[in-house]
Amino acid sequence: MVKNLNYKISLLITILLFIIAGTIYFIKNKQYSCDTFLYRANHYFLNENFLQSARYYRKLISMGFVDEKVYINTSNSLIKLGDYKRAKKYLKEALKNNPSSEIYYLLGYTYYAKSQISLLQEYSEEAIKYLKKSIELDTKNKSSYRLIGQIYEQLKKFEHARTWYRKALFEDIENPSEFYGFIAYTYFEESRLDDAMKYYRRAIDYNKNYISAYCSMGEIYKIKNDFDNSEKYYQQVIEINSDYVLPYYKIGNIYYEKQDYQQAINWYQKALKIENNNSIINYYTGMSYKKLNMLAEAIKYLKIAAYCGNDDAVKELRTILETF
Amino acid sequence: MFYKNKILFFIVLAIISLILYYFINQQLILIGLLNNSIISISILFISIIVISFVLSTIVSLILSLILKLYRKITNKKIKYNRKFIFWLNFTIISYILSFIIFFESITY
Repeated sequence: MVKNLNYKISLLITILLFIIAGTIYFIKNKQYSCDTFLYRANHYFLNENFLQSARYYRKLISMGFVDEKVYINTSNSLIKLGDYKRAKKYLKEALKNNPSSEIYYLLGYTYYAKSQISLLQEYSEEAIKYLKKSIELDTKNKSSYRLIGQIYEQLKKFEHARTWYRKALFEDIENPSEFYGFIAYTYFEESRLDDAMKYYRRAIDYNKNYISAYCSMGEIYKIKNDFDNSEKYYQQVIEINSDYVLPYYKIGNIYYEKQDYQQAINWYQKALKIENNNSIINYYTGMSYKKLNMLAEAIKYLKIAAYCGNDDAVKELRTILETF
Repeated sequence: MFYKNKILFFIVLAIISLILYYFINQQLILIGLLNNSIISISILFISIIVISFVLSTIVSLILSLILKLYRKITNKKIKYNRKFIFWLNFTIISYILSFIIFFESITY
């Protein structure tokens, strides 16, 4: 009798708990407003608080708020958080409502991002499939062309990459210099330096401030041992942006290779004014002083380089200190 | 609750953990091991049991101290079933804890 009563009371309390919980859930959901949640979700998204934005966007979708932008932002938030599985799920749902080039691009990007972690080629192939679909729907989708080319570059299929970059150029997209630069890069990777130079020049023709193209030209001329032209291109980078450390360092390297160590030091010092804790630049400055037999100065810069994590600097310091 | 049928209580608690996992999953992006639903539900289930156990032990100790004090003051002998009191505390605290977790997981 007592057992029965205890059992009945327990069952009643448990059922009551479920009913109360259900009622509270229903009431709370009624109170929530789609507009408020959309405002909060967009606010968090713009401020790059992707965890909160994903939370609110997912709630919006569960409340039946069907909007392409919401699905896209949800997926973008989830991609930023590394949750590619859920991102794919929302993108595929969005595809059912409104298949657009942007959604196919995001799906391609999700598979691409997944391939970077898993290193499985099948994800790259899936990414390419969705990116091709994205381009079919919008032949001027620059991002899709760029990403598909990037994937082929990673797969070392440079001719395929060039095909897609050329297709982008054929579509008369805005700012073609970027794609000339990509084509040039694929040639550079294949050590076809003359072809690379040809396309870098075309990229520069379209955009006189294309720093990356100038740096690459400088690098190619250095490989060809044409130090004068190499320096000329790096100087042009300095004219465009004097706060960029790379050209100073590269010109310093040119003089280092020409064994003009004093000039090398002058250029390395300019680079160090911008980035004084750069381990490589400190290392080469130290080495230049060592070549000039100025050991005290050499040790000073090699110590900084060693402190910043340069292993070669550690070895050099050991050699110098053992010798003296 | 379910004093004579303790297994039934744990089954109910497991169902509650399953429901809580669903709502928590809606709110949070569970990553890594927690992405696996079985692991997450198990962690939730065990956490509720452990926390309820600790809290009910504390409550039972406090109650027994109060009763000892009452006995000393009034000189009356009070019989009570310690196991029953402990189990009652444990089940009530488990339900309250589950409710709190539920309420938090549906709040935006």
